[in-house]
Amino acid sequence: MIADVIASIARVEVLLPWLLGMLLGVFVGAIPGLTATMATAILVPITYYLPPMGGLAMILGCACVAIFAGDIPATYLRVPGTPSSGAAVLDGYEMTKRGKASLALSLDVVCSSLGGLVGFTLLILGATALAAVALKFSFYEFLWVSTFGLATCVVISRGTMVKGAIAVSIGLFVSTIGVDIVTGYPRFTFGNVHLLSGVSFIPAMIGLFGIPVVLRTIMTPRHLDLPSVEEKKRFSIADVLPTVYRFRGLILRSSVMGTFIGSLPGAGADIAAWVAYGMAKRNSREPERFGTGIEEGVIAPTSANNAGVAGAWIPALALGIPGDSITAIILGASMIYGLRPGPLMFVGASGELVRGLFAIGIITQIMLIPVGLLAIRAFGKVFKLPNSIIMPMILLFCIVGSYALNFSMFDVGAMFLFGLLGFYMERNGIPLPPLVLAIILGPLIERNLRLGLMQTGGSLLPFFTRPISIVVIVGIALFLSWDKISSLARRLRGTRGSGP
Amino acid sequence: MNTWKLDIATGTGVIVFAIFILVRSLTFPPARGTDFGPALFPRVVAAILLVLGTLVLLQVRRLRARAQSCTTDTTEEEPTTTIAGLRNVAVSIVTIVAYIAVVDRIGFIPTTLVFLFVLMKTYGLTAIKGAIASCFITGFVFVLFSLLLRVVLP
Repeated sequence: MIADVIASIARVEVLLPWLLGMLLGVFVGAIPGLTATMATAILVPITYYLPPMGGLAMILGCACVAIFAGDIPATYLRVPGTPSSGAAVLDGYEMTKRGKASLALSLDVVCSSLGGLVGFTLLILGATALAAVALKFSFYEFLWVSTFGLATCVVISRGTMVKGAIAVSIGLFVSTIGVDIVTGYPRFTFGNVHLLSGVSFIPAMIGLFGIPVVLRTIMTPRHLDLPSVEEKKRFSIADVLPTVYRFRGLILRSSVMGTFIGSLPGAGADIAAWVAYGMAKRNSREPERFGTGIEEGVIAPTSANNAGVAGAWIPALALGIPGDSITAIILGASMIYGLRPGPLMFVGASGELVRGLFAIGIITQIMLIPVGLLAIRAFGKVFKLPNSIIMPMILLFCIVGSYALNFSMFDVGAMFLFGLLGFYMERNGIPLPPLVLAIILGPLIERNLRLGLMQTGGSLLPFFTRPISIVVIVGIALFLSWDKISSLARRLRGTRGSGP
Repeated sequence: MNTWKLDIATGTGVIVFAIFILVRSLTFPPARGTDFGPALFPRVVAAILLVLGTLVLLQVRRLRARAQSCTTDTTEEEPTTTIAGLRNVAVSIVTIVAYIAVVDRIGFIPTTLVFLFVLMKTYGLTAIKGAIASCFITGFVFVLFSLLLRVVLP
């Protein structure tokens, strides 16, 4: 059977579109403003001219590589290429500032590959069982999982927790702008038609991360002659393998966590990356070093977000419920080819497609390493140009990237305003990542809160008494109070040790 | 500026913002058949912001007391802002605003060429290098977005 699967994908009409899809994924992921969802949507009509396996390989290859490629500008420039790369900024960019960009990205590509391999392995072995667990999640559980994602982001971001919570609250407010999903009433639009669909998180993310970097650099003219990225030593894959081996437990834990969170419909790789980072920091022997440019800070989120991509396929194949928007598009295209989600997924033509999908997913994760290394090298050469060229280029990509979403200059204006807000926030020690994550998760949290309250007639009790909710709430409480619990435990151990 | 002075501005700003959200949400109509209308979530967020803004201001008192009781100068060293730096920022902001205002009328290619050239020249690049880099980057972005990714540029 494995030989048949390999034979079905080892053909020119599959391999060529597959490679082209991966190369497109690199561009799309690495340029802020272009999303993997957008690239997938553009590719779907093209794939109708290809054989089914070729089309599937093209769009799946693009989506898998784009998630990694978003870490490239996040590490080099502190501008995430995709929302799930926000966590990679924290330590990846700090490593770049210390002249270790290639170390960060080499580690990133290997961990992304391993994370994706773990994710697809779990998908192949346990799709049905994991989907059964995901099916038990309803309004209450989704509310708490989203809150857990935000809480993690607040705790691990720089600055005080109060300021992190302010960033989250501002993001939650921004997410309320636009037409209310339940009643259709326009909120905080002030009569502006562009705000009826709300504030898109892509321009907000580009502005918040991109504009402050530029403003900070140009405020110090002597930095403008310097290259944007300086490297004292070029690191290769061979240099990072000992580190990968040393942190194999962390990679496995983050990948499993990423797969599970990715399997929750609507949760996605964004939450997976942040939760993995937060858990890694909590469990680390040196949590205070997170955010200063350490390997664990790169390993955890990058393993998790690629695993999350595979995780999104679990409910998609087992139940026909896609885990995220990219999977929704690919699932739709696959169903036209004959894929049947559910108990019959392995029967007939559907079985051939599903097996092909598994093989393409696994091999793409392996191919990610050479493709990713090429991309790292190519972008690295570009970013060695002086800041006087790179900074205007970043501004241009911020503008065009924001425009490309809806072909609207309003989004560009919004991007710029968020950029000025981000600059002010940075100067005042208010972290930026929680704000972006809150814009993404805000609609999910509000919908689940209101629908849950409508279902219970206003009672908050089911939010706190359902078994999975209790587990998540306890997890949040432990996570937020871990420092105090650890210091109390240390004091108690010290008191016992000093006894007679 | 000392940290605590910035925190006063932040705390006050957050409280004013929370009050704005609350007042605005009073104009939202109630939803039919349910108590959980469009005003619920904004009010929850506003309440959280009020609490957080107050906490920031309370923390300022503690920071200020600590700063006053300390005998050594604990003012954080801030990076020096030069006239040239401020000029770069001002020119960049004006250029971005002008770009947004005119690109739809004039078109992507000429506006972007001028935009990039002005910024690069402001940041210290020579005219020739700036012209070459502007042409190359504009061409690359046009080919990538417009031709390959089918994004309809202005």
